[in-house]
Amino acid sequence: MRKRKQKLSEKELEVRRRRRDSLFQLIRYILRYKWRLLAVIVAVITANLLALLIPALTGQIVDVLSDGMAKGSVDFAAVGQGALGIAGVAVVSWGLSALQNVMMVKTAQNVVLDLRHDVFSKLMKLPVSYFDTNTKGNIISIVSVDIDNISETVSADAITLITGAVTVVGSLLSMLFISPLLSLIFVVTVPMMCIVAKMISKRARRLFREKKNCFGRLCGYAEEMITAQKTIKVYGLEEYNKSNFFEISKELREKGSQAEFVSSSMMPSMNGINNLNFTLICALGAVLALNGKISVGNISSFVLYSKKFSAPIVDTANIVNMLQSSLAACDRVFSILNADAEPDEAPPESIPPRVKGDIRLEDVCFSYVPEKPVLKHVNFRVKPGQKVAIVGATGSGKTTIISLLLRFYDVNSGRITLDGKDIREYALQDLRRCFALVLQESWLFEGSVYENIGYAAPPERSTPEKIRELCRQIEVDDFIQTLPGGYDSILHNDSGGLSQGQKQLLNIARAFLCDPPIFILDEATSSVDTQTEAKIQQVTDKVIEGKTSIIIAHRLSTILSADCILVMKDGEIRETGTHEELLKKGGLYKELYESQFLSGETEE
Amino acid sequence: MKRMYPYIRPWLWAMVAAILFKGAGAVTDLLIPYMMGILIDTGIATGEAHQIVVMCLAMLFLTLVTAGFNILANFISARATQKIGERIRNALYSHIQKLTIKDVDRVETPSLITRVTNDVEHVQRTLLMMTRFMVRAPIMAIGGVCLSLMLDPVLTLVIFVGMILLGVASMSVYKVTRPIYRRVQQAIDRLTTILREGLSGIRVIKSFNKSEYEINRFTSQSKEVKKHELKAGLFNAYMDPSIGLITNMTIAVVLFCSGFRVEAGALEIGKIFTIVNYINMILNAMTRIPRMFMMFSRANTSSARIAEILDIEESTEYGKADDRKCENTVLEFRDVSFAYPGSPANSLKHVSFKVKKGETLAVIGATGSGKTTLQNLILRLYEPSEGSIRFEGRDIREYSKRALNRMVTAAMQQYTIFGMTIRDNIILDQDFEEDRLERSARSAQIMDLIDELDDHFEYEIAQNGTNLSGGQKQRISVARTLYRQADLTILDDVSSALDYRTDLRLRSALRRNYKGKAVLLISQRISSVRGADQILVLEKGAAVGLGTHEELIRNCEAYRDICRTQAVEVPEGGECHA
Repeated sequence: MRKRKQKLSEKELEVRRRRRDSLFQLIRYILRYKWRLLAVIVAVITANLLALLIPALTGQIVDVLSDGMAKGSVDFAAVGQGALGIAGVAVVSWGLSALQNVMMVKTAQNVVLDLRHDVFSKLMKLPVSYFDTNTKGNIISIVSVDIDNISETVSADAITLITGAVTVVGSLLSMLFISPLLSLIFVVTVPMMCIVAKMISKRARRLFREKKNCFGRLCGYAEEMITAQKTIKVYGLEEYNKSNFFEISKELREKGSQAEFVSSSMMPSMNGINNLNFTLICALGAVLALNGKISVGNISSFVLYSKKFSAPIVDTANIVNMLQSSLAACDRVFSILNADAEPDEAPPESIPPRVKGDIRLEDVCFSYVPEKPVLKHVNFRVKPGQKVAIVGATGSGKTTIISLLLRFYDVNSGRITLDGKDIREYALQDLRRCFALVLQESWLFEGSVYENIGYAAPPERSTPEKIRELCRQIEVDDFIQTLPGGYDSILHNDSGGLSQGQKQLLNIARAFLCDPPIFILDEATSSVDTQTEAKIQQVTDKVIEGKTSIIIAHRLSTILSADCILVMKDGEIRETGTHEELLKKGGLYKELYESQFLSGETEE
Repeated sequence: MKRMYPYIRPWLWAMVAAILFKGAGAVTDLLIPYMMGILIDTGIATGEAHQIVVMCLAMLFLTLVTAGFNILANFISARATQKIGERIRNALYSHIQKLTIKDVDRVETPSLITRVTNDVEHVQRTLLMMTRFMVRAPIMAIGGVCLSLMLDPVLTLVIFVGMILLGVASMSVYKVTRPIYRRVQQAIDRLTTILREGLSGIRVIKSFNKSEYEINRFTSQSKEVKKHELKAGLFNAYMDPSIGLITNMTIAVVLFCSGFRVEAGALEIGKIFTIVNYINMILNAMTRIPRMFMMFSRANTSSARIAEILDIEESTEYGKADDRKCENTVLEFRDVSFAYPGSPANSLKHVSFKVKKGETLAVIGATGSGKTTLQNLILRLYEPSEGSIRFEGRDIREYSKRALNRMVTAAMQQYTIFGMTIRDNIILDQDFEEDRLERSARSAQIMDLIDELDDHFEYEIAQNGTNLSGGQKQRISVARTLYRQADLTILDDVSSALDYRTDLRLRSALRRNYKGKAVLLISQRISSVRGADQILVLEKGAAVGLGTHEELIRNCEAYRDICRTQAVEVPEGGECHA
């Protein structure tokens, strides 16, 4: 029992240590603007101290008027002076507050810009493994929500805390100065305010967090189901779907009611204590006034000071409650900034090397997860200008080989060489320039067709005319012309207007435009029908003449024209050779090939 | 907002009660400084201790009553508005289920999701605020002014000026910053898109060495966001403290003018005390009022968005027929033509064929030849422009939705695997029968995978099936379709992610285990279609061949072409018969 408790606090300590470290890193970011921040703090303190004069001045005027009433004539000079004093303080206070706000806004915006730039830059340098292990939603939340949270905390919250502290302490001191006896009331009411504020704030926060989780689940469910519209329609799942939704909706309602009610109790409660305060001051004040100990003006000042308490106390309670989550946000942002970038030890060559395309895998072993090896002692050679096809069942390791060639991951043991040099000795930039990659999942970004296709090619090759010509060559031109804006139509990654096949064709066009020495196609043409695929193959053959190409495909027709076929199973290369040679061997390849022709009567 | 009224109506009495209590709470709150004023003038001035005691007790009472009213009001309104929100949300979601695919695509999924979640939330929040701030703030302001008038009309004039100044300042903030915030939101949306794209395309970006390019793209958009946020921020920087400025100036002027009033004998100290307190209360309340407009306009936008969806009429009209005729011809296409809305060309041209019970009809053709369109029409996702589709002797439009769902199912190219167990993904809303489940899993060639997993059928699939491979997902989709045992099962290119052997086994299992059911098999592989009872060859929407493999390979040029590209032996032959 004790051991488990110890372990828990060890983990907690680790979390706290990490949060503290990231807090320091954040402070270093902010300190870039230290002079501006200093000015802000000075302005804030001054503005608030000045503001504390107003209740006192008000009280004075009230006393003058009181005398005036008793005497029958008012000392206008004194009244005028007092009023001018209040006006003057108000204007200066306004000026300082405006100044402080302006500086704070600018600083916060700069900090946010810095953080966004640095975080995104870092993300672009992180290895592919980071993106395989962290969800997209999580990363987006860190870049948008967390950075905003930090900016809020740094600007608004910090200022609020300072303002609050100055106001409360200043007010208390002013009141003590006027009447220590009356100030005794605050000994009771201020702690009351603090406790109530803390209690409600904490409880409300917990309830809101629960509500937010429930809301998140609702959003997640709605997203999953509305996106699955087609599936629901086709299978008639409407009622099933609705009843699940209604359940979550009901839970949201219950949690929402609780959260709203508790949080809304803050204002009436604080107001109630304020009013109680007011009543006590008035009662005690009246007694003291009757005995001539204090004046009505003093009571006025007291009342005005006491009104200044509740806002800072409530705000501080809220900020303190949010502290943990702000620290957590900070931690998450810096976890990206502190993560290790892709290993890229070699400096890029000033003139990128002209590579022939001689690829060798020597005794390559690799696994994503230590206990599950994906590639086991893989050896093969791709000669320059060869067209190699890799076939095998899902999970046999084909896609992994591509990840290794492009150094998305590095081999665990063995090595891969390109033109005789270990690929780790090339700069990543130079290495990747030698390949054009077309993946199974097509990728488009928000931009015109021209921009999408011309994405990776150098400017002289990505002129509109050249792009159109290429598209005509691979017969992609027709469907582009049918789009509302033609080549200028704006595409999106989740473009509903294009079919999977059409998106793939655009990705292939992009790779073609690049014209590198080595082409890699990963099951790219499998969602395009065989006739169109055959056309692309004809063009591909023309384009890759003299170049090296590696194709991963399921379709035998694309493999038939390969110079060499690698047959993979369970992370090993079982057979290599040309189509005829492999058929003669009568092994794994023959089985795969033959299964294409049986009409399905004999099996099992 | 008026559109939301039908949903508010059941709880109207609760809302009214909350408003009344809130209002009462505001009035009692205002009376407290009033009491003190009286205390000062009658108690302290005259030295009557008994007056002081009475007034203090009155103030204590008012304190308690104020708190009580407010908390009660909050309790009622919190529950009522949440219930109203739930009602709107559920109604909207139910309506979305009735929309056609075309409508959903037009509105776009992310927008629909936002409407069901965020927009409903806005409407709900505003309703809540309507019973809280929107009641309290005006009453404090107006009530304060009224009481103040009773005390001293002249000074109240000064307060009035202060109120106007504050009103102008607040409205100008609202007017100026609203369009700026809209631009901020647009800029942020664009920034998030770039971020999203960068994350999903990380491999492409790295392989093409476009990291720097992406970083620049992101940073320049960040700067754009900053530009707009800064504009709004700077404007607020000057305007926020003006509230304090106006309040304090008002106090200064009021106090100065009090001198004249006292001199004129028209004012007593207690009244000055009360008025000074009211200045703060009234002006504070004034600052809340623009927020009301903002919330209201936001809620208007949100309720308009919700209403927009609710107004979309259910365009697919289903019939009432529920029974099955069990005719021999399961599916018949009679001269069907179809063009997608907005498209000039026909995706299907005069297509006719029949599928009998127990038969397999295979459909083969290039991308865009109309194979998926065929499926969409059978599923009534769209309506044919010409011709008719008949199902078991009746026009499919005569059947109720439920009957249709029972008779036809499809394993489509675009399907969703849900974040549930394998079992739930296969069964969905059907009853659970163990042997039926096993049979469908075995036929779909997914039983091996299930046996290998520790949890077997209870294995949790991640949302969208990200912890499964493409082929595994496809097989689950097939299992799910088979489980429903419909009269007509459509399989749309289900073998695209499967290797040849698995595809072969799948088709054998279908033949063996689901005899008596009709199958419409859409594929691009000759190997998959050659064993079908009939093959329909589509080319650019027209049926250019209908027959068995042996017939087509001799007579249909389009079919022969496909065979050639797939390295299937083609004998010398004649022309095409459609």
